[in-house]
Amino acid sequence: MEKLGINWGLLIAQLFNVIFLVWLLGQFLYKPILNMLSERTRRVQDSLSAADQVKQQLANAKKDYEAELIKARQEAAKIVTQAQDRAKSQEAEIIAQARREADRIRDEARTTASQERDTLLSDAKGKIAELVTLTATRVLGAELQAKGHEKLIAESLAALDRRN
Amino acid sequence: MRNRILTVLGILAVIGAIMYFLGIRMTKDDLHISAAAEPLLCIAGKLADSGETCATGVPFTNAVLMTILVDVILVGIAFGVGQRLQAVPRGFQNIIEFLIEFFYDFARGVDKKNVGKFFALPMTILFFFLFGNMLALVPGVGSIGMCRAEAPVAATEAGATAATEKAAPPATPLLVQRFPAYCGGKGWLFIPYLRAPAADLNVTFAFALVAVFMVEFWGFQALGIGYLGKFFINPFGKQGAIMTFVGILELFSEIMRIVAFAFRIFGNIFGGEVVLAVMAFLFAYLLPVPFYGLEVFVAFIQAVIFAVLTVVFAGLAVQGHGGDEDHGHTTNEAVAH
Amino acid sequence: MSDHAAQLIGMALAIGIGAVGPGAGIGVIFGAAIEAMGRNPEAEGLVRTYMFLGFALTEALFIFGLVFGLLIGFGIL
Repeated sequence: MEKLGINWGLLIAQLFNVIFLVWLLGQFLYKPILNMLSERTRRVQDSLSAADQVKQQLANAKKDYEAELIKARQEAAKIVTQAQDRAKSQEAEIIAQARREADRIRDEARTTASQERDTLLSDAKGKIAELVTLTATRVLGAELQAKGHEKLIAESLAALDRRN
Repeated sequence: MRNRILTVLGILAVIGAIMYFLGIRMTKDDLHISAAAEPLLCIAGKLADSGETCATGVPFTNAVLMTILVDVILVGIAFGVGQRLQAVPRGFQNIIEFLIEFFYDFARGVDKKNVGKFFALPMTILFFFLFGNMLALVPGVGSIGMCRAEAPVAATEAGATAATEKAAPPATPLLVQRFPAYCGGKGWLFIPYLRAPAADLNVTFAFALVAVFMVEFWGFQALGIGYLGKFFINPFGKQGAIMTFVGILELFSEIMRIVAFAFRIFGNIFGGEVVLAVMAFLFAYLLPVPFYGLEVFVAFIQAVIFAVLTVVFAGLAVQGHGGDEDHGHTTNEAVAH
Repeated sequence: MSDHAAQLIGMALAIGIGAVGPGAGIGVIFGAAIEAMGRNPEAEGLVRTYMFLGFALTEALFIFGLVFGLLIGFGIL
């Protein structure tokens, strides 16, 4: 024992030293470091999952955006076709209306013209009849007078000319 | 880089060889080996006549001084690193974190459930012996010291470094006495100021006692009084008398663990020092170099072994009956569950 | 036979005989480890860890022999 250097006082002192060291290092070195290591692991995991989430969101946003874009494009195309359709139908309508209007105007014009002609004709007929009657009366009168025959005709013809 | 190292080594080898053949070398008188840590001074007591031990009082040995040094370093680490942790580790914090995390992962591999309870003791063992063994290999630790007369008249410490203040008549050629750790021949003892803590049985026994005691304590804590069922097996039970004998053997081996723990690391470190000294004696300067490399490896691996074995024994103790599952269960073991 | 001669013989025997078993054991350990590494190169790190563990445990036996040999040889015991 003596030669091996075992000394009870020293042994007990070393025992206390060991216990003190274990307590102190456990309290002030291992605990904070292990806490920090787990904390760091947690944070790395968190940030990784957060990054994943952000990536996911980004992909979603892009998908959404693209879908939106396609939808908008479709919408636009639809609106354009609708507008075209409507324009076409409107055009046809307008054309038809215009045609109808034109027809109406033409008809009106035609009727007016024919009415006028009719009235004219009837007027002319009346006048002619009058004239004829007049002429006839004149002729007849002249016949009766037997003299102013040629003069009467000339007179009535001149009257006709004058009237026309 | 490699070339530069080789150049430096070559130059050192040449210088060593020249010095060796000039006669600056170790003699048999310098080969002073003491299994006990030498007392630097005796607290409340007097040195023995031999100068190697204290006759009375508590010796303040060189191993104690080294233990205090290692303690100071470890406490400094605890307060310098452990209390000022940065989320982004830098420099020294990295090393400490790496060591702790590495060993923590190993301990978790042994016993996942109780690792938090176990961890502090083996980690402290690892740190203490790692720093202690490595510091003990620093040149000068075992070779700077004082000389002390073996004669009873001069039983006080002459606080001087080797080879300078001692005026002992040189019996050997002048050059030889200049070797470090030389105190002028017979009648004088060389006492190094520092000594590897693991090369002192008090330190290793203290650690071994605490380790084994804590292992048994954790065993009792986990299994209750049934922990004893591992050692005391009813000779008339199912397992038979042979298992009773095996149980007693196991109890004995449990006690022998203390001695094995203490002597394993003591033997490796102390033996390493002796080997280095003997090699320096056989052929100074050159022959110790490869053994020095081996000692660095041993210093590391023995610290790891002590810590790993503590963890493994603790894991075995809380698991109950070791590898005895194939022997069936006795009434004693039934209590344990 | 003088005391010193007996001491030296004791030291030589302790170291020499003490080296036999651990020598064989270390050979077995490293052989088995190399075989395991060859069979399963992925487990190399794990095998190396346990290899050094076994090496140190086995070597400790030789160290016991060495220490007690030295203690005997230098007249400490």
